[in-house]
Amino acid sequence: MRLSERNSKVHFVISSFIVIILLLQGSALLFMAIGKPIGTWFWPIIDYPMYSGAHEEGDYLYVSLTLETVTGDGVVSNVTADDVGLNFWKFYYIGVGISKSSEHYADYLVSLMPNGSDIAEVRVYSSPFIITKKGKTDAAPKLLNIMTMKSEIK
Amino acid sequence: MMLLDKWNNFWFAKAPYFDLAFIRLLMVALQLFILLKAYGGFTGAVIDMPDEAFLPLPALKVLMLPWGWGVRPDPLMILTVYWVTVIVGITAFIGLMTNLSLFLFAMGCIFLQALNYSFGEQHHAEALLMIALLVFSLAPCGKVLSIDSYVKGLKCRGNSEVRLLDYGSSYAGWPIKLMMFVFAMIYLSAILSKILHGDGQGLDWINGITLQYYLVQDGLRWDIDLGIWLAQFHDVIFIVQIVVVVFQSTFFLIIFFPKLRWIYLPIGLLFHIGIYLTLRAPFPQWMILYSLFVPWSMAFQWLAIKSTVVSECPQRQAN
Repeated sequence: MRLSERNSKVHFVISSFIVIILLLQGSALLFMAIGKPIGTWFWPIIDYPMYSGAHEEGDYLYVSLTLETVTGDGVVSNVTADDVGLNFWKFYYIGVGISKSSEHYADYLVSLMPNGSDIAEVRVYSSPFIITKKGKTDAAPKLLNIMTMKSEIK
Repeated sequence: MMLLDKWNNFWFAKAPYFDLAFIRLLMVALQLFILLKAYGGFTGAVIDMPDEAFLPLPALKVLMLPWGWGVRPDPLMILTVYWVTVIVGITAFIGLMTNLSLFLFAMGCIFLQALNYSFGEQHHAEALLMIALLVFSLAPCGKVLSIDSYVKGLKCRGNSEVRLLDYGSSYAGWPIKLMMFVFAMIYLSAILSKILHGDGQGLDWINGITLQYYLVQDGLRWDIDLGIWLAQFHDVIFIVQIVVVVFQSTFFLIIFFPKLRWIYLPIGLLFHIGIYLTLRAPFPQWMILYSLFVPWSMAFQWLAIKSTVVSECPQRQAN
């Protein structure tokens, strides 16, 4: 294919763009292959680990995450997505964050609660089910994490 | 030199503008629909979020750079961007200043989605379409099926004519091919994460239980009886998991062996419809982007011939 000088320049610019896009998405693939996934931080260039966690019989289900707060007076209450005016996913990711001891998500939750400044502890639990070869069976919810906040339980 | 020729022959082979323009229509229509349907999600829901929840993605920080690094957009800006994005989406759809409209539409959608994802909630369906909109905005996707092309046609009346489905250039194919590669990489990412770095090791993901787990979990989460019912059949689910692994790990072959599209595209569509019905995970963007793999001009040409030619049945003689 013989190209005019103008076409060569256009081809070069487009080719560079093609290479950049392929390199960006390809590097996400490469980082995943070497065990350092980039996650969603560089959105819209992201990894796609959809439903990727392997599971076996007896694993707890995370239909939703149950969040529990304890005030300085020792009052324990359940918090739902409706209580804090969030959709399912935003509330779920708060639970995931707290299960990983993320202060950002703990502060986020507390900021949404009217009695936020009184909260001394946040607890996060799995759903009360485990998986079996025949479907699910009931189980006591598993405590995933406890985060201590600035207030103290008296 | 030979490598360069091969590169040019692959990416810059002559292709019809129609394919590019038709896919533009599909993509923009879907994204506009999503924007309008989720008005509250893109505006009020993020405006009402507390500052403590704001963890801006780098994409948003870059777009907000003129106002400062990491600055949260105010409600007026969010509403302005939303409505400007809708307007340029409409002009991108009808093909009025197509490239500029599509570029602004892509940037507006990236801004709104990145903002939405800066409050802790992130999903996988949207990114691919955002990249595709951006790529298409740099390509001649308004050469046909657009107001731009209609106006240009009026100006060039009297010049030699070319049939719509044959009209093309060497710059009409690369965006579609590029997005095909990106799409294939996404399925490779999905399979790599399952095989290499899932919670399990190696091929543990393919054990039947894994998919049963997700079917029950999402079934209970979204109240889907079908998923919970299916999850009883361990052996069937095990086979489905094998199909998923084979499909995702070999999807890239359809770029090099186009005849495989007849197998992969229907399976892929069924796969995405299936996960929506059983797991309530919507991937309409990916389903629309399957159109990248369809040679639309050929398909319409074939349909045009088929619809204008019919088999003549022998007439019964009147007595």
